[in-house]
Amino acid sequence: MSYAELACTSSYSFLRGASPPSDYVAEGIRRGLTAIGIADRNTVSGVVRAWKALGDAPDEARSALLAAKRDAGEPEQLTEAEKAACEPNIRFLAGSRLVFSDGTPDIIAYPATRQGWGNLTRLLTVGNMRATKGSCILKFDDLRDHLDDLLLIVMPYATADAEEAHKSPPLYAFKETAKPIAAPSHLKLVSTAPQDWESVLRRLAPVHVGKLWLGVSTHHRGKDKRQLARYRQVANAFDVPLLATNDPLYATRDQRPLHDIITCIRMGTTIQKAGFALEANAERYIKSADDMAHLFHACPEAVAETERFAAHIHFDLEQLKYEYPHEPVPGGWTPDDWLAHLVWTAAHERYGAELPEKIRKSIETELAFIRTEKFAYYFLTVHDLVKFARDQKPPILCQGRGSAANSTVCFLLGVTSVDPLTNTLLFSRFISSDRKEPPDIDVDFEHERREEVMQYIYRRYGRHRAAIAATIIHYRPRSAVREVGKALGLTEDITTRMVSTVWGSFGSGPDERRLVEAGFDPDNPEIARLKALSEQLIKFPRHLSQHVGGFILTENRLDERPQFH
Amino acid sequence: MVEKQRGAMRLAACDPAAHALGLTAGMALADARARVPDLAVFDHDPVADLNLLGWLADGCERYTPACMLVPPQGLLLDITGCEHVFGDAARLAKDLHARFSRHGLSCRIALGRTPDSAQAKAKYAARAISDVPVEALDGGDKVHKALRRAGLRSIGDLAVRPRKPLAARFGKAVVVRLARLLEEEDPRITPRRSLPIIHVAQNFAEPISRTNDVLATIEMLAGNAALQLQERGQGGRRFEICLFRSDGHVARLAVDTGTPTRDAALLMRLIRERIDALSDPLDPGFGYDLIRLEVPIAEVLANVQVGLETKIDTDAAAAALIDRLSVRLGAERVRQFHARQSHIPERAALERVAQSDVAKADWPKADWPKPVPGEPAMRPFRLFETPQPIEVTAGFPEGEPRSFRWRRHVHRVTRVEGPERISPEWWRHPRGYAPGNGSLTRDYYRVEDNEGRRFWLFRRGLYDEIERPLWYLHGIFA
Repeated sequence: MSYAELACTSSYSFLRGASPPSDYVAEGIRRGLTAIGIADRNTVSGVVRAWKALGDAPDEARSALLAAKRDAGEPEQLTEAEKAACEPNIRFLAGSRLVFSDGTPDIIAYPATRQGWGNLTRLLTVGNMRATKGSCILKFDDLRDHLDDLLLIVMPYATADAEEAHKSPPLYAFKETAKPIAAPSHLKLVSTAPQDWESVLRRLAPVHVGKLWLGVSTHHRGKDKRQLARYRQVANAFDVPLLATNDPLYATRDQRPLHDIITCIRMGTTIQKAGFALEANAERYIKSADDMAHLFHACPEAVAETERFAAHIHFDLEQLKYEYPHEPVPGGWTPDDWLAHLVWTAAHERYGAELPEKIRKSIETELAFIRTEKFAYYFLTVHDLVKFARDQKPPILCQGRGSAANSTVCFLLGVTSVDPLTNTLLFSRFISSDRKEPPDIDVDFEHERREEVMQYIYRRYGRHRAAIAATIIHYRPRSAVREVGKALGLTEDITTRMVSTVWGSFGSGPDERRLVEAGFDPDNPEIARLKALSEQLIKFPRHLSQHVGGFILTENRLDERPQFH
Repeated sequence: MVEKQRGAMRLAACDPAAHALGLTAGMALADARARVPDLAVFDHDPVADLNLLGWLADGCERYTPACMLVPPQGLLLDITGCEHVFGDAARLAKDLHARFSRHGLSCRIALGRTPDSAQAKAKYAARAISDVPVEALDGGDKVHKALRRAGLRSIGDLAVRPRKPLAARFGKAVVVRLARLLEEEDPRITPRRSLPIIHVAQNFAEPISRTNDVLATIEMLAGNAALQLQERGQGGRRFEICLFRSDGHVARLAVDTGTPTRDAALLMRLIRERIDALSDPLDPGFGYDLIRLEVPIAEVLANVQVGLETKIDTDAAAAALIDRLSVRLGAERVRQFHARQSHIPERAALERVAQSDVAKADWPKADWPKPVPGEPAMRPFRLFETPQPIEVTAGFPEGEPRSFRWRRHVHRVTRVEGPERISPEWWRHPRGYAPGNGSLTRDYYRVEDNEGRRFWLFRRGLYDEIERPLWYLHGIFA
């Protein structure tokens, strides 16, 4: 019997999921699931971590095995069979749990193709634009406009909180030519949102044939058999198959206390007063195929359906390759040729018709390297910005800094100002083929006029193709200790004293020695508990924030890759 | 009266006859006996003296609720605003004097604008503060001697002198005390009983003793108090009735309510209950000559508009019933269940004293679970206080129970619903957050046996938590 868990809530559903996405992937591998899907609330920000964790899993497994062999005194070599065993046999699926503000039950959406992913991110963008920073307000009608290529799992409950709307929505009026909606006209007459899962099925089943499921779980709440029978009866009436899921909130059972704590932090209460806000039991973790088969022995097709569902999905995050905007390159030129043209022209302007040997050699090396690695666009985009800044009257002050100063090309493009003739530049310091990353060219713009630069970017590329990168702020040791202490009901003086033991904001948690210095007894069970739970909370995402000046520019619609806020 | 003072038996107090014979307080007993061989001597009992003083203060409460004891022999009464009952302060003093005489006590009464001046005048039997000797300053023997040597014998002498040199020579404390005595400063006294917010009283020229009359008076007073409460927008939580007997005894009755009220009829019902519940019936003696109703504790109570069709307000009716039962049986004996937000079944209900202030409770309140129509109840009607151990045959692991034995009777299970898994509240044990340290998870099953009876069983502990989990019966659906 094989099983895929498709409804994981990770820590990227802020203060709702108690495990990071990598933990889910690891647990899925350990339990031998065929696929694992991360579906966070109104966001796709967690899927990259999970995807990376899956990519790193073979290496980690191999090093773990080698270390075990070393400890056991065996030769540090892996046989072919062992190497094969380190390869995980699990697929990772990226999706999102759509939480609606109009009473519609939760719907988990997985894109089946690249198009589907574009639809999903655009849908989430619509919701984000309506709400204040970090929140998302979705309505059922929004989903109707973005149904293509999305596989939907309807959950029989809703988990929405009250959300805050923008007082005046930002300018995001980019409209494409209207796409014909394949929905029959009778849907337009109905204006109220469905308030329960039966209505959702009734509305979506005729429209979204073959791509709709009803997600059911058994969490040992005393009425499981009865409820399952009811779900089956209603779903059959609409020809919607049941999909078994354990709806996990954490990867392993041991993380239930942490989940209770983050629930208290979210509700702003203490654990003693939380009452029914906490789950009654600890069943919402990743279960194995055998466990799920046992739980669903009355309805085994629901478990089998998970594999069928996974087979429908052909989308992988690999397919999201970055496409550069074309603007910096004039028509008729290739990026490399245009870059070469700019560089050689600038070189001759500066050094005359006869170039110094040193300069010539470095230009040739660098250009060759850039050509092989296909990095020309980076330089051109930055050059374009710098040129704009310098062309303004008065010119906006800007200067490149950091390792980019090691590049002759950067100097000749006017980005940096370290003359290669008089200084020795180490290009390998800047980029090398060992590092698989693109170059990091930092340019500082005059602070008071940075708005002008940003407006230029938006004008040139359009608001739908340029955006400021968002970063996710994580819990630091201080904030973790403070929040966990409040949730445990400890008084402020204890939590402030504990917080003061944490060294700086980037430490890894309260150090035992410092605890003793501050007058705490690390053996005191209350203190030990606070320490243990805070350590688990560190590195959990807390909220969204704006990256300091980082822009993303794309060729196609940007909101078809990540979502906008 | 004798007591042991400074190692020897000395006289603590003497009566006028003894004074006449030349005995004074502080004299050694041996010396006293030498002078008067047949001296009658009694042990000094300070506690009894204090009790008597307290009893006198109780009696003085008929004049004003603000009384203060000044042991060993003094009482301070703040009669601000209370003299009009007698006409003026002088008549009140005469009445007080007469009352004390009837008890065989002699007293010195003095009136003053401030407590200190009154006390000084009474102590030194002076008519005016200027006649009071300088010893009233309580500055110590040296200061008094120095004042006398300077020719300042009375407060009157000091009053006309400038203060600064006095302060420089004798200290600031003396000057402060002087100001108090001269009625320039007015410190408040601290009454024995906290002052009630509202008090209404009824005097009787002829003391009354019939219960009906007493109750009628109380009813009238209750009406007055209710009016005052209404004006203030408040309701009383505690009502005290003081019945002053003409011979000085004071009887007190107190009634508490759970919610603030100013309903006079309700109050009367409660008072009647209280009187009925007294272990010794009220004894009016020669009659009560003053009945007072006080409201020491009051809270905000908004005015509620009576609806066009007056419905019975079930909350208010329940509160009234609780008050009556509490008055009759004692507040601690009337208890009420409140629902609490807890998944653990035995913690889901909390038993509390019925009259306690539920609104201010600090535990998360819940509503009683409502049954879903068409489905069997999730919780049994009767929950055992201690779950009863039973022997169960069930599938392994985590299978449903097939039969169980309780009280030597075997029940065959025909229908089961479950399990309902309830995890322990890990935060109640300090190490409960770590795996393997908390208490055990329970799996509850609702079972019906072959005779149609329904039971609520649970297995205490999962098979990966404990090696041999035991089964219990927690309740029955009957």
